[in-house]
Amino acid sequence: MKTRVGAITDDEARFVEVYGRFARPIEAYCARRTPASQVADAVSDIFVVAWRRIDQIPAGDEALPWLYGVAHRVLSHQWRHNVRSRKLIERLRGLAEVEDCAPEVLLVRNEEHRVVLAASARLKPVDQEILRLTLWEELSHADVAVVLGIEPTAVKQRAYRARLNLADEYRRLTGERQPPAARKGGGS
Amino acid sequence: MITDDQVVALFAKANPVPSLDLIDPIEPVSPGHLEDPSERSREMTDLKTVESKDASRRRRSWLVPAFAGIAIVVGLAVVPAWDRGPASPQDVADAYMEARQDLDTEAITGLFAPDATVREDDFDLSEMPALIEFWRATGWDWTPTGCTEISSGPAYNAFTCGYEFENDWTRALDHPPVTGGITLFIGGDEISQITSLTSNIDRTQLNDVWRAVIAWMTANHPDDTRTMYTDDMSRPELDPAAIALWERYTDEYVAEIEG
Repeated sequence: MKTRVGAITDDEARFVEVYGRFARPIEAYCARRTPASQVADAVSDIFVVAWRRIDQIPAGDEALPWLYGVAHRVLSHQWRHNVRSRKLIERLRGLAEVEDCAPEVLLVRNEEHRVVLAASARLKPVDQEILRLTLWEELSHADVAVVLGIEPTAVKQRAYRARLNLADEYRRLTGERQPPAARKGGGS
Repeated sequence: MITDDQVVALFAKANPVPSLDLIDPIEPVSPGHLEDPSERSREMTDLKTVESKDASRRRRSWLVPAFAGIAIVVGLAVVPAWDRGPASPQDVADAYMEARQDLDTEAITGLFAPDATVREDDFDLSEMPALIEFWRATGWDWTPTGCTEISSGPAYNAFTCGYEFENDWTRALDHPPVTGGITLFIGGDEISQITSLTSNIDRTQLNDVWRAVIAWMTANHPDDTRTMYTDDMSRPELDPAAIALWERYTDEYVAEIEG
């Protein structure tokens, strides 16, 4: 039964609380992964899902990884839609290349950052996301597991390999060699 | 030559949005204008939408402006009523956080409606005076960082109020202040609902502090710990005898840590 306090239903109160606490990190999550023009739509979509599934949102701080999981799916959906749209625009306009307005292109001015992001783009999508979640959202492996719906042990192993692969790709792009004995005892 | 760790650190620094300050503030929402909750999906298929893409697009495109627009319209409609009252909802929210910082029991309790409720906490409103005594005994300091309106409607306005928290234990352990937030629902000039009397802080940020204090109390005053904590050690007891012990042993703990 839904109890009311004044005109506030439990669901509304819960939604407002979740929105108030987590809208900003969710907005930042979207801004890190999608063009600025699409951030507001993405945030709206994420909280529409949150509202529909308000009973399933974990209490307290555990709501944030859960919301990141929703955001991950929303943006994946949006990204697939964008790829289709981009291909269509290319065909219609006969353009060889459509301007890339991803946030890193707009915001990253540092050449080193551009290269390391290019290196990360060569990794598998799930490994890219693990790197972003651990290094940008600063999530634990357990929370990343919640976001991606995989086991924490798998996250740990993938995170380890993703870091090595990121370094390899970076050096490949810059023509650098791996430092001697840099990975002594490493590997999994 | 660049090492693996240096590349990883470079990637961390390449974060396009390293701070929330770099993005525009989120608009307030009015959840009462969302769809009927009874029609919510319980499946994980929300994104596999069955509605047309046009319909989906229309929904997305109006959602955020609609939230903002409705909030503004409703806000304008009810502002005159608040003008007649002693304080605006924003004033009430700010006053709550200031009174909390001052540990002013009378001011805090005076801001709540008689039937106000606490949503998620081990403590209820009747325990607020004792809770404040506990905070005072253990040197709690809640520094407000501002209240932001996150929802506006005819019956209430919701605010999220941030703070930085520290107490004698965190200071003794050189633990940095922890940030947190509370959501207040304010109807007229009274708080009708609050998420938590204590905090909505990320508890993992303070686990080390709680564990250190419990370990010290248990080692040094095992008999009194039964008076100071509930049986499962999940929360402090708040009767006068317990609070006197909290004050005494907090001073002792701080003196020992600080040498």
